[in-house]
Amino acid sequence: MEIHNVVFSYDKKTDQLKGVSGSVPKGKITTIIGPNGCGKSTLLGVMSGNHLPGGGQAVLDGKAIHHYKPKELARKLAVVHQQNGAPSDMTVERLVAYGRMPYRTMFGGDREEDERAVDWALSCTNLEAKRKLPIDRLSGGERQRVWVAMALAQKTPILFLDEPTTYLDIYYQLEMLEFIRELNRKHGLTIVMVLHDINQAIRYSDKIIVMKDGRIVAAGEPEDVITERAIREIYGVEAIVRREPEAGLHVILTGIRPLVRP
Amino acid sequence: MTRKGWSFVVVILLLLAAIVLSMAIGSIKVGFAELIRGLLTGTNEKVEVIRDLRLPRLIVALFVGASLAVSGVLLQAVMRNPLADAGVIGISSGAGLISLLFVTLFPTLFFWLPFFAFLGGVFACFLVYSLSWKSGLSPLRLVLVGIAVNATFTGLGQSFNYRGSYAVTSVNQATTSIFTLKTWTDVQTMLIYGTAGLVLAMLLSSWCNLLAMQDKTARNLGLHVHRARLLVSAVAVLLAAVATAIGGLIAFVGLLVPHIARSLVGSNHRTLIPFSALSGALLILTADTLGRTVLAPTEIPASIIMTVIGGPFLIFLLRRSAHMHGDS
Repeated sequence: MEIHNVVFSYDKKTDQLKGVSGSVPKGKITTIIGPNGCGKSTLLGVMSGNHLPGGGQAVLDGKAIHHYKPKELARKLAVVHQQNGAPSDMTVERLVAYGRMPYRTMFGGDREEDERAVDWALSCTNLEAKRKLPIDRLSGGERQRVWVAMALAQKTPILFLDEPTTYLDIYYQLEMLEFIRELNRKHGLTIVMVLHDINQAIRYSDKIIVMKDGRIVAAGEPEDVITERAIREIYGVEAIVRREPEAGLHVILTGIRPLVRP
Repeated sequence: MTRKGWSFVVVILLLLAAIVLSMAIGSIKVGFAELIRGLLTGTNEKVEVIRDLRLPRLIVALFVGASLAVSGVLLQAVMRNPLADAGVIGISSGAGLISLLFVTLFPTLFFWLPFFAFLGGVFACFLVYSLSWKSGLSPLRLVLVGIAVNATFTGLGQSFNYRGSYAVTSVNQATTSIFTLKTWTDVQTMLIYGTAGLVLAMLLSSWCNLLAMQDKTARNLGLHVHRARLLVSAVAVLLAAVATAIGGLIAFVGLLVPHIARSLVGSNHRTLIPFSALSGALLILTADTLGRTVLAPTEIPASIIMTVIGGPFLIFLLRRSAHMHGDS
């Protein structure tokens, strides 16, 4: 997927994205990081067809995202949002089955294929035992996995995740990230996610895109992008970047400078 | 059998019982066997009177109830708000006002009445939407704006009705809901528009399920969110408008029925819509039958009975939703 000079604004006064260009490599894990309000989630929204860009375009397989029909796009690209809502009596199984909506036609569609996809999504996310339960009986980690399972049932080559680890404790955070890596390595999914934790981004990404003030300020492999200087300039935080034998490249935050963010 | 299954069985049995009772009781009384025989052969004079007077009224009551209940379900799905009801947020009174004007100006074009009522409803719905939209719909703001719109249209309708001795009975019928004097022409109109609306509602049930989630979730599942929202709203307004044009203004059905239905059969619109239709029909038929028998020969309109039950219920729902949104 390519992004060409995308401009976007919520209120037509200040631009959240000020001419963003970049690319997402196929079959890799790409992570977008940056300070609060830098436009990470907005960029993801433009790339997933939820925001219509005011200028420029995001292009997938030679066609601008906003020219796709919603169903057509939903068969190529699935999204796990940061905040999700569903009626509390919704069962896991039914919610995951909504992932098959893009394949529904006037005449119903292929039921067997639907069932296979739902079973696969449930087994990937380790939710088979809970399939009949209503979602409000699940733990936070399980509930997040249900939304991932719904996206997986869409059987798309591309998966977007907006801060998939928020609201989870560190165990479930790592579980989620390991699981995302497995989806990429085993099933070849192209992954784009937004993360807050720099160390997690380094560890689980093939490519990191760094944003600040509605612009991409750096992009590339974690080793090239994450430097002490970069962290100081992007976040205003002093840090030591070190290569450790067990954890690999690692960032240790040591202090802050006076905040000069807009 | 599941709770869902039982709920359907019970409501269907109650509905059948209400239909039979409503046909049999009143100023003319007939036995059950006599009723069936009379309906089949057409020779019993008493049953003929029932067929001409009571049966149309019964069918209209059933369809009005079903339409209003389903209209409520659809509005709640579209606005993601358990307090949306055509009667409360002014759609019915918008439809009522336009039908009132229409009946006065063109009394002969009766068949087209629901169409113009629909236009009135669309106008009211558009007003409520656009006035309460502020980068999203807050449940309470929507209800407040709706109540204001409702008051405006109701007031206009009443001042129109009040312009002196000129007020004729046909005008009154369009605003208050006495189901008396319903004819087979009313039944025909109600059946055509009502059935169309109910069938469309069923066809849109899977969209309603998606709209119950967030817009972006629905969109990423391949739903044309704006188109779906527009179509579902249109069907909701159609149902409310027909019900108002034929049955007059009845509030709270679309609030009460879906709420109870949800707690019985769950939030899946595939079952919620048919169940609400059946329960709505049962509720209005019961209200109408009670209304015409309890104080016979005086009648209490079904709309008044519904207001008496519905008002307190709205307070109950508002209190609960204040809890729901207060801590989030």
